[in-house]
Amino acid sequence: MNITCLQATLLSSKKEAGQTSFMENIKLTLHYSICTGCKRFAKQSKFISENARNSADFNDDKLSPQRKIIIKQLME
Amino acid sequence: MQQNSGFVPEKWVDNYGDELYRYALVRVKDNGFAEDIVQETFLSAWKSRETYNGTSSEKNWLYAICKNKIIDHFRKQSSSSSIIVGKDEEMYFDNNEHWQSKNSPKDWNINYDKKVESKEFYLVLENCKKKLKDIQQQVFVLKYMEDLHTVEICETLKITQANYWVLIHRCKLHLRSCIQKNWLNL
Repeated sequence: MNITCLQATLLSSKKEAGQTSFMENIKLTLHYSICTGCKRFAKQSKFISENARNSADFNDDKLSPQRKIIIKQLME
Repeated sequence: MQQNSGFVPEKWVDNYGDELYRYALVRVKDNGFAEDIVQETFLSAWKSRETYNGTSSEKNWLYAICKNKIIDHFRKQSSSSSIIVGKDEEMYFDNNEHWQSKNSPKDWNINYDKKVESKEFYLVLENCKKKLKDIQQQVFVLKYMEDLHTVEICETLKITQANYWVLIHRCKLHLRSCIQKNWLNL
């Protein structure tokens, strides 16, 4: 029933995607009960992937004026 | 062509150029690629403007084209058989596959349920993503930013499902550790 931290962190991504079996879920829960590191890993990596899609909203780069001119010319 | 006031190809570059550029920029590794993707998006849209039927807004239609251009870009970049090399995991785990004490995740002391509004977080995330290997970064973008299904990601990048999980695992190990160090300074 015991799994290693390497296995637990791998399983945590599968679990997040809903692709773990009943047994795997039990193993994971048991592992989390004794391993703070893996519990944090699951929470933190989920946090990163959930926020990643907001990236563009917090970026203020702009398409260069030169490229805009080129595109406009190509669209004529 | 739709004579619809919400569909004005002449204004696309001014109206959506910057936001589509940002959309592409945070998904690919350099700004030259992002500019090319935006250009291809507008040109494809321009060429097929007659087929726009108004079922989605002009903006969503352009975003959908841009999304496909990004997927195409990754498809072209992936070699015919992307081999998964290296043992990145060894950076974090010991011989017994347990966390090395210095690399065990630390307490972040944040509210995990709250959307991050700090610009600094996203800047750090971008820099951390750039440090990933191309194939890892592509898997991350297709899965977590584009919401593609596993099968579709494997087909696009020409990888097996087993490799897919290895890559997702490595992305998460690297990103989590890089963000802990550079965003939280822990």
